[in-house]
Amino acid sequence: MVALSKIVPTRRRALIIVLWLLAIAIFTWFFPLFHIVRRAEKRSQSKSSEFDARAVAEQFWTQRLLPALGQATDVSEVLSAARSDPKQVRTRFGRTVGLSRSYFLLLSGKGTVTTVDKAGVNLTIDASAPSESVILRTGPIFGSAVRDATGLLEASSFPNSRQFNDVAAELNNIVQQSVTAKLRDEVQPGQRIEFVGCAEVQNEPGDLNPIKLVPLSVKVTSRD
Amino acid sequence: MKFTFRGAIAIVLVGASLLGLASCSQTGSSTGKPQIAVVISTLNNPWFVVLGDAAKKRAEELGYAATVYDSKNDPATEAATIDGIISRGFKAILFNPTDSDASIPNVRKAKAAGIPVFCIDREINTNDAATSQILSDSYAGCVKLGQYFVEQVGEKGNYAELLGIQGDNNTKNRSDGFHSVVDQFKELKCVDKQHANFDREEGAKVMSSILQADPDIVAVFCGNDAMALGAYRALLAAGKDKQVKVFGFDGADEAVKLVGERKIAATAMQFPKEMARKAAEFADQWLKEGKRYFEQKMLVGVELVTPENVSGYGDYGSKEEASK
Repeated sequence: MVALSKIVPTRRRALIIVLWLLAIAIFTWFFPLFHIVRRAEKRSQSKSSEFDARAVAEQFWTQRLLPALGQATDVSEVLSAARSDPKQVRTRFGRTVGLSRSYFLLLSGKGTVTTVDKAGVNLTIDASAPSESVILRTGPIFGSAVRDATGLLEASSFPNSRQFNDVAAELNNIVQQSVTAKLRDEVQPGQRIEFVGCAEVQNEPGDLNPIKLVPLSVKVTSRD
Repeated sequence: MKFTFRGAIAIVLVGASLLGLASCSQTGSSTGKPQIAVVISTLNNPWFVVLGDAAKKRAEELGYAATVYDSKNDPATEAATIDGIISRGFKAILFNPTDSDASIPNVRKAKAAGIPVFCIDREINTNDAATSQILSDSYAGCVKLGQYFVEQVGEKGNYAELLGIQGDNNTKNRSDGFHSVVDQFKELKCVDKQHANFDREEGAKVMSSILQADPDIVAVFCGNDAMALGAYRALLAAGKDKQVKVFGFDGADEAVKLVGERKIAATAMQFPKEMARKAAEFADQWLKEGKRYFEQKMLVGVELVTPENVSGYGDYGSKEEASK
């Protein structure tokens, strides 16, 4: 009788252990402690969730920025206004982002190349009297003028400013690769060119004399 | 019901913060004026004290009772503060978040309670929680600093960088803006880059250790003025303050003064008072005029402060702004 009473609790203990193991198995089936994922699958998952600033910048450049260049203000109009009163350039032609004392200009014009140097391509603007010049930058492009000069891309369209800034950097890369490299290599003094460019004006009148533009589009119209 | 030691501590902490809020807000409620809360990430840095005080002052000028709260750079403290603010019936929150991700639930909680939240200076990584975010354009400011850095240091040399808090958007935006310029000059080499968490003491400590490892650096770029001031102190102690040019960011009064004395090469003015005032005015428009549409992200321009133009700056802004 004593031996039998010892056997029963042992069986009960075994049953309890089995039930516990079963419960743990069911729990981990529904809530696994880890997942085994193929490396390639994981890489493609993380890549798709990453923000692709280059792709956004390229899409913006081709689909929105280049088609909007026709809206640029004639540079000779701005130069004339700057000559009479630099303060009116901001109110008449400038675009301000948020709260800032600096502003952006989007300008177009025609001119004759006078010099090509490290700072950029110097142009004498047609129809400017007295003769005035602007510089098309050919060195490294910094800042956010390309992104912000048209007002077509806003910070509020991005969940965080990091992405917005990454797009600005990629747009600068696009300009360096597709516009300034060509400009530096192909343009010669004496040539006539048509251009569209943008600039940030932080200090008046210094930044207006001469205006230093980031070139967005350049076309050589005559070769001397 | 079983109480753990941790649970007891949590209850005591929440209770204490609610009591604290109750005592703070009594000033406002006793005046009968609607209350606005100003929640600041840390009051351990004079720049943020100015931010909080300016927001409070403008809110009071607009007819509100305003109370400033210190989140002590801790999202959990911030969460407890927001809970208290909701329970005490504040009408709006002028909010300087502790963390761009961890602060999102805190903003959502306030929004769900019908309280508009206006972020100041630091952003949260979502566009659907805050009513508006008034943010320093740190990236553009550091592009300007980067350009000035190359002008002053030259196109070659070794330098170091002191970064802010890891994972913080401002830390990355400032560093990215700076490097978008400086990295184009291949002979300018960043030989050491360490986090000093926007803190003066850590800035001094990190700068000292950098000098041990790289005694020949010619410049240091610091993600804020507190770290720049700490770095300058360490350079002074090591007798290298003439050899190493210090560049900061913020426009803190002490840093602007040292720029004027040509001890710090440059800083960038962030206009904390202007941002704080704008946030208070937005809250006022929401509460009094019923305005419901605000630009989600409003960037505030940052200006380069150098020995050449320093006379135009001071008291956490420009002299032109102050004269208005």
